[in-house]
Amino acid sequence: MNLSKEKTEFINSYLYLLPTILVFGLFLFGPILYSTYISLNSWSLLSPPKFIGFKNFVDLVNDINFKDSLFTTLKYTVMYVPSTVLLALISAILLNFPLKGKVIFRALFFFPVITSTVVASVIWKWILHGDYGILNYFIEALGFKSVQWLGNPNTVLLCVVVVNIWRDFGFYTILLLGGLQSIPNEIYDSAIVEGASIKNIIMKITVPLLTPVISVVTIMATVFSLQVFDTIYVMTSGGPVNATSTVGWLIYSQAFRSQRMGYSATIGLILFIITFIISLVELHFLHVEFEY
Amino acid sequence: MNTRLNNSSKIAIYVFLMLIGIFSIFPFLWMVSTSLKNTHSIFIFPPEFIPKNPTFDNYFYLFKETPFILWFKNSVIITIVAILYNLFFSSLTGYVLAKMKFKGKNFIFLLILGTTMIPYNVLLVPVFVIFSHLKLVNTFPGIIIPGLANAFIIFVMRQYIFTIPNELIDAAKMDGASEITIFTKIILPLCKPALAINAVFAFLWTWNSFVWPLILAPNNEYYTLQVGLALFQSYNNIPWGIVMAGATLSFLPQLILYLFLQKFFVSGITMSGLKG
Repeated sequence: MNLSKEKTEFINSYLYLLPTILVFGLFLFGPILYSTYISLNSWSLLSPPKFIGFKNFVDLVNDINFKDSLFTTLKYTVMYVPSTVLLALISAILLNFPLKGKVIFRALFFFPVITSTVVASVIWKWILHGDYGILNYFIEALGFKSVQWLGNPNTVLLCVVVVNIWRDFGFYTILLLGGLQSIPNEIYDSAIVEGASIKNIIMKITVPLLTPVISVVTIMATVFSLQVFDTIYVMTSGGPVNATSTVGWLIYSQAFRSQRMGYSATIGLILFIITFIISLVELHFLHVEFEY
Repeated sequence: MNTRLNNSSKIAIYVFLMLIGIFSIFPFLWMVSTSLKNTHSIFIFPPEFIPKNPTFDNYFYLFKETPFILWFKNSVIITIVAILYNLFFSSLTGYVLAKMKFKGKNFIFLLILGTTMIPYNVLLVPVFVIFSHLKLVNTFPGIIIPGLANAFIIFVMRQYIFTIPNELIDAAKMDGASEITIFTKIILPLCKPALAINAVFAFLWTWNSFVWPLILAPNNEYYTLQVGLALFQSYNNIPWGIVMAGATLSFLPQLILYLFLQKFFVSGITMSGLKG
């Protein structure tokens, strides 16, 4: 009796999970496995795949474009992660003070988060426009010379970083605010009784207690930034002169502009491994303990 | 924090908050303002922050001269399917993972959670190839499927259903209710806040999705709003007013939803975070 009950529950469980298993299999697990096979082939889609062993991986090591894109992606990550996390942390700490109107500010900070990457990129492309952009208007009004923000290889990556900071920091702010609100008030009260300054309270109490959340946010931001693609597609198409050709862009352009499916799949796998390693290193240094 | 702030620190905090607030909101105001200007007044220097002669010409142009309505319709279709699917099936998965006992449960749960660590770039080529084999490229099912595999939504549902007391389920079982009846008649009605989060995120995820419709539906009859807008703005000499009108209309559904359901946007993120 008991056994058959267990058995029915077993069958029912998997029956109910079937749609999820199918969709995840078709869209996530199947493709991941399949991409290791594709990476061992030379394939232009027009002709059948040709098995070439590890040649794609060897080519990749010697590919100057790949090295450049990796360097660009790391540069992007180094600019994006600390500044986004810092801005989110400042916003969260400020929003945690008992102030009138903070709900309005929280709502404002969250607006960019719900915007699509395409809309965000389009708006900023217009703001940063070299000839008619509003940013250059302000800069000229202050007496400086206008800048071709997206046309200059030295400024274009910074622009992409700013757009993504703008779009993402509100998301991390909400996560950090959640963490802040779980810090009991008594801790602050005793510090206040002892006459600690606000600055000291923030640096000595708030930030240390918030470290686990800051760590998770940092890792999330890193994983996102290593994949950056949408904003680059809309704003720069990898240019000018490859200045925004990140690994994410290279994967897309190799596959869908140069029809090199095998090679693109190889870059994808390498990016996966790099992301995994960097996350592990961060986990190690930030001492995150996951619970579920 | 119950700190008593003196007036000067209060002012400093407000100034900071205002600056970040302006940074957040100005681009939207500029988008709307530009969308209401004619081709001439867009290029006036100094710029008009509030258009002196506002016009809806850019919007009319979008409706008449571009396939904007088709893109909008396509986005609405895939978004509605994704929301309905997630409301039922992702919730069912959450229920199974929270309340049913069977071999392999933890493994499946970890596998689903683990997918959040996969960079989507890895999937571009294999998904495209698999979908081409299955004749899913340039079809609605092809652009809908990516919106259905959402580990985050399953996680939120699982965490929420986990807190529902087992006694309710056991009592129903005593009365001879089947698992699926328990799910539809007892669990779902108790999950309204989680279902709201579920729907909000299924909406955002699908409505904003760009890469998948871009590569899986290269035919312009399947362009979604995001794909259409991205390709439209890339043509040379497209007037910025029209692009901004398209951006404004594409942002409108989020804006409306956000104004009404703000707390679910926020609590969804907080729930996904950390302790779960």
